[in-house]
Amino acid sequence: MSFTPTQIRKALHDACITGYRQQYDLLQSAQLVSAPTSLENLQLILHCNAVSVLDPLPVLSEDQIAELTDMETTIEGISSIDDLRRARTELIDWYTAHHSEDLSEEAIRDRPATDDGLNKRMRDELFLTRGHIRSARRRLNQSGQNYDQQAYISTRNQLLFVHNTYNEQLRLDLVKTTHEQVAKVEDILHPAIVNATGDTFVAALGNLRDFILEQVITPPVA
Amino acid sequence: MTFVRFIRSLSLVFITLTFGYSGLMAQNLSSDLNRVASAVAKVQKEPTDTQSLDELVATLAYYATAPDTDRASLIATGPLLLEYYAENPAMMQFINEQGLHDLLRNYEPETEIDFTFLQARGRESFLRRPDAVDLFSTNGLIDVSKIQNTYTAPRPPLENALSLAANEASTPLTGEPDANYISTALTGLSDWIGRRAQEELTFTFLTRLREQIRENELDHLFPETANYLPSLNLINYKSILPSLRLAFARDLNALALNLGNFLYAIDADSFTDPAVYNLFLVYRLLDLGAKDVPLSEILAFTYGELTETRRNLRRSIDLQLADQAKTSLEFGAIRESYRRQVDRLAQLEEEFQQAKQQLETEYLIIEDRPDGFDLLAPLDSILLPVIDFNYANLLFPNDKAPEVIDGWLFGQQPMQYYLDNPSLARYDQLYGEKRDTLTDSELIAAGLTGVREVLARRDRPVQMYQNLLAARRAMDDLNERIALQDTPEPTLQAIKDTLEKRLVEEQAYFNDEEKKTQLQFLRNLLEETLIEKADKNLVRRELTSISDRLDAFSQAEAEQSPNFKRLNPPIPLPAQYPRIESLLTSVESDFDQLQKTLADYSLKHSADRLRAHRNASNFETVFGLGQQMFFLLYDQEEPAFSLSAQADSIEPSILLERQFANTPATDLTDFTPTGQLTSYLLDPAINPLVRGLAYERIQQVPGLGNINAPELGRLLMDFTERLYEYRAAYEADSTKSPAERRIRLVHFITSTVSSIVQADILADPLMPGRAFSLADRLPGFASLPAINDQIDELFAHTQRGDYRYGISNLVKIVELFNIIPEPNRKQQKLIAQRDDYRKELQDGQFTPSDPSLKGLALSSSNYIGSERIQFLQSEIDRLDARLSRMDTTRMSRNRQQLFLYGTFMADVASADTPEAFAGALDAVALPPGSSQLKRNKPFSLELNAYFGLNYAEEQLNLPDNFNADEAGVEQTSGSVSLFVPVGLSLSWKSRYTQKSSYTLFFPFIDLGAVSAYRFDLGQGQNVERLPQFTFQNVFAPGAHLMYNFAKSPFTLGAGLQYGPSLRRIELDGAPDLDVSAVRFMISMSVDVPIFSFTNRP
Repeated sequence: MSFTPTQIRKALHDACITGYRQQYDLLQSAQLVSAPTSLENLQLILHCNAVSVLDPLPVLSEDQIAELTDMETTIEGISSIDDLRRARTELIDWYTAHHSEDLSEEAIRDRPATDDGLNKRMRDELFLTRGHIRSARRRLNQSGQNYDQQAYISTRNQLLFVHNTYNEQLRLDLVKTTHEQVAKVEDILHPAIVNATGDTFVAALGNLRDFILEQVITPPVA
Repeated sequence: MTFVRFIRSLSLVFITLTFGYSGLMAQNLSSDLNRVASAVAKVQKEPTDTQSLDELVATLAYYATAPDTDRASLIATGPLLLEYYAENPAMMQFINEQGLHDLLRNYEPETEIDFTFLQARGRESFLRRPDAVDLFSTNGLIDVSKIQNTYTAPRPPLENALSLAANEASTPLTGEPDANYISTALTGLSDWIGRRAQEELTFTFLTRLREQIRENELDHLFPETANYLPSLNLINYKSILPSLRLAFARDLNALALNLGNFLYAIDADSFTDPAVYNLFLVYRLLDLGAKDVPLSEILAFTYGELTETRRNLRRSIDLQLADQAKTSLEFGAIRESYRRQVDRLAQLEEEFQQAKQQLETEYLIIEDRPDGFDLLAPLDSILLPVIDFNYANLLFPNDKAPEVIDGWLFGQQPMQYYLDNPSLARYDQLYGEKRDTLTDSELIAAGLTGVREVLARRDRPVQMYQNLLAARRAMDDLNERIALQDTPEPTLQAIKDTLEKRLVEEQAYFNDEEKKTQLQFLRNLLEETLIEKADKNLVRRELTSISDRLDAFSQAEAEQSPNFKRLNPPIPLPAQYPRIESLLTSVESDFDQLQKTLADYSLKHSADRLRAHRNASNFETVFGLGQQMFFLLYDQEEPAFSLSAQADSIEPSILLERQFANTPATDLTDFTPTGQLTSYLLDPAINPLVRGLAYERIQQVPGLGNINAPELGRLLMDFTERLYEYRAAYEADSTKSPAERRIRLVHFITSTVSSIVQADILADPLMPGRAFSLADRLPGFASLPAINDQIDELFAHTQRGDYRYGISNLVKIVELFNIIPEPNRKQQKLIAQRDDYRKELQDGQFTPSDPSLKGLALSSSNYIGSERIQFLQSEIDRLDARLSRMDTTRMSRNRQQLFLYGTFMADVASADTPEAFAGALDAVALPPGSSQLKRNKPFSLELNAYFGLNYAEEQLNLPDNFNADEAGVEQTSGSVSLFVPVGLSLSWKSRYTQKSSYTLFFPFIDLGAVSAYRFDLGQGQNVERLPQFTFQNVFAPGAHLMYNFAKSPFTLGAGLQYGPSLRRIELDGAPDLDVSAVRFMISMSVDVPIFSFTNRP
């Protein structure tokens, strides 16, 4: 089977997103995301973005195309967490084999931050999310308003998971935000958390989470 | 009008304050000391007295944070207060001496502390502070458009502020002479004018007075006089004298205020001189005081004005610098340096954000635990300030000011930033009808202002990093505690296994057989310690004992064995953020470079205004200090301070001696409140508390630097005295004239400022124990106390009509300001040299401890080094000495003239009888002792009179056809007469060292000629013995050679003189004949010079 570059990009991106969503779904069981797993996922999504914008793809030899064929099989066959991990490893290996970029944590952190003013504005706003959650939660506790604790923890963990990824994508200019999106976070989603009642608190977190997830898994700008 | 309305509204606030809260107790430092000391005494007796502990904690927290009680609540626990006051040496001394340390360390108030009992009315208003940081709007958020606005708003004139202030303060004045004086003057004049000869002299004198006034810019000092001295002539001179007298009186009355205009006229850039600036402030304060604005409001208002002045100066500095920017290489360097800094700051912000996010996540996760809130609550004071901070704007809240400023530095609006952050307000600002249009220069100036603001905040990242580290450590400790809490207690078997493992490892490490055996002993013992034993506690104890023996062995060997390493782990490094640390290092050095570049550029292009700006800043410090002192001491409801309230007529020192001479108090268990601040200061037990509380307040004054705590007590005493004087006088003066009240106010202002600048309240960080005052630290302030003394006296004297004394003060002020006269070229050169050194010294010694001043520092601290400082000081001293030697002739002559004319005006203005009026004119027309002039000077020319006796040989000029013998007339005869000639005298000395002198005297008239008694020894005696009293007989031209005796007014002379012109000869049977005579005479007389043409007074 042979692939067009567009197909390769799509296949790789889909594989990444599948893996990312698998991890995201796991968080619903209220387990915390450990730091190493979090980093792996972050790297994965960054690679996805990187591959997606690789246009044109490097010229591939026959052997390389054959490798990709194997990988497609692997991706299509994902049915468990172990499969996911394996596929992710393969993807990253393949990517690093064809790119000279250093993808270590340190190297990623060393990359300069965006000079896009709007992305910066979105990031500045997102750095306030945790504080909003904290103060709203404390207020609700003090005023005796109840909310579903378990739902809060799992929603919040998912939120923080996508939040970290999105923030990093913004920092590295892998996504571009818009005035509308920034305004939505500033004027609707964040105020909804800040002013939440016991009944709306978890839903407000969920709304922000969904909004961010949508940005994270949308194919980035080419 | 606006200003008047403002003052009215201030008064309204004051009235509200005064009457709106009359229920509150009086409050000041004394009452707080009372309370704390009593509370401490109670706690020492009963350590569980929580009410007293609460009072103690509340007071200490309040003093640390007043007037913000929210902040006080945050530190109102024993441990936090101990941490807060750790840097306050006096307070720590008090706490330790009184044994409070342990009590406080473990004390947490059970209920929330209520601070209302400490918040007295009136008192906190002293701490009101108008926005000290220029760019912040009233809600505390930065508004970059505000910087921009400062360049679109109309600019107030800086140049004539001194005159305006003087004029503002000058109305209404009192002390003008009443209408009576005119008749007095006229009567005096009529007498005086009768002495015709002196009229001429008066005219001459007044002409010279007018010239003097014009020449030396004295028209600003005596404006009314200058108006009433048009070109005089003899005809209108009499009529103008009464008006002149009125003018004199008005000018002298307003002398203290005219001084401002005078100084301004002499040097338009006078705000660069702290002494002039000081005078300006005296006017402003006086003006407010005269309008009955309360003291606290005066201070707050003046503080605001200083800020405003500083802001205006800064704006003018930056506009001046912006004009130079386009062609300046240095400015390019500033731009580059700044842009680099903006990038670094952005990186730093990113790192702080990441660190904060990590902490916040951990915080949220710990909160999920059932005991999460309880675990976190004690750490909130450390954690919340760090995680609540928005690091997106590290230096300025809520705006990307550094990026905006970057655009401005290039003379452009940062459009991309505005596009990314659109707002209607911004749109209107840029495109609306009332849009601000700024020129390139104005934008650059705004950029420079912004750079200074950035520099003023340069210490913030480091402070934030310290906070971050503390938060990180606290979080790590908490995580460790939680991990420990969550780990189940190890089983006995696990303990035994671990111990066995350690023993095996330790045994393997050592090669020495003896040691191996020793360890084997322990292993065997361990083997025999059976877990199965029934008494589990016994097993545990045995295991512990074996473990202790192993540890003792390892420690004693002190080798790097496994167990030794376990027992002595390397000191764990504090949680660190290497990326932040490395960025901070770069940011610091970049800031240094930016600051230096900006300072050099500013100094090069706007040095004088920078110095003026610094004066404003320094006076802000002085007034900030004043605010804190009044906050500590002011007590609205007990006007008479404790000294007078309790001591009545007893001298304070005696009272204190009685009460405290033998008080060795070391603890407070027997404390009895006295309510006297001075006595507290003398009480060795409470003294540290007083100084501790004062220290806490004073260290909040911007720009002061390190404080010398021991001196604070003396400053407090000084202030208490000032306030007491002012209060007492104010009450006593309430029925007196407004002038008296103003005199008190000026005295209060000048003495208070002097107290502040002279107090040795600053500590030298490099030389512990060495203290100095603001006057020491700021060379320009050194002469302030002396000038203030003189201004105080000048104001009092002139307002009370003691003009003569006022003139003395004026002359001294002129001397202190060193302004009269225009120096000659050589002096100018020396003065310029000296002033250059002074400036270098001043700039070099200026160490801005207040971050808000850093952007304007003329050079970085310790820039010139101590050797250079010594050199400069010695050079300045040398030049001063040289100048003072040169001064003696020229300078002192000018000041003498000022004194002479001023005294004349004073005497005229205060003459209340005709005699006094005439006396005033006599005093200047006939300066006593002037006969010495011709004896002391090598040469002199004078209009002179003599008064004495002479003996003459008189020769009658008989007609040719007259036969004297027939007529029985002796043609030559001796005569004796009074000698009262008036004429020109030309005097000289044959050599410089000669004490006496010679005079060639040419009389015009001789009043004594009519007394020439003729001794006719011959027959007949037909010649009249005395000449007739006619003008012809007074007319007596002639020439005399005189010898002037040294050190006395006597003169011996010989000469020839015509006259008397008409000596009558009675002839028998014929008409009487009038003949003239010539006399050769020898005279002995008193020398009475009338006017000197060569020797000026």
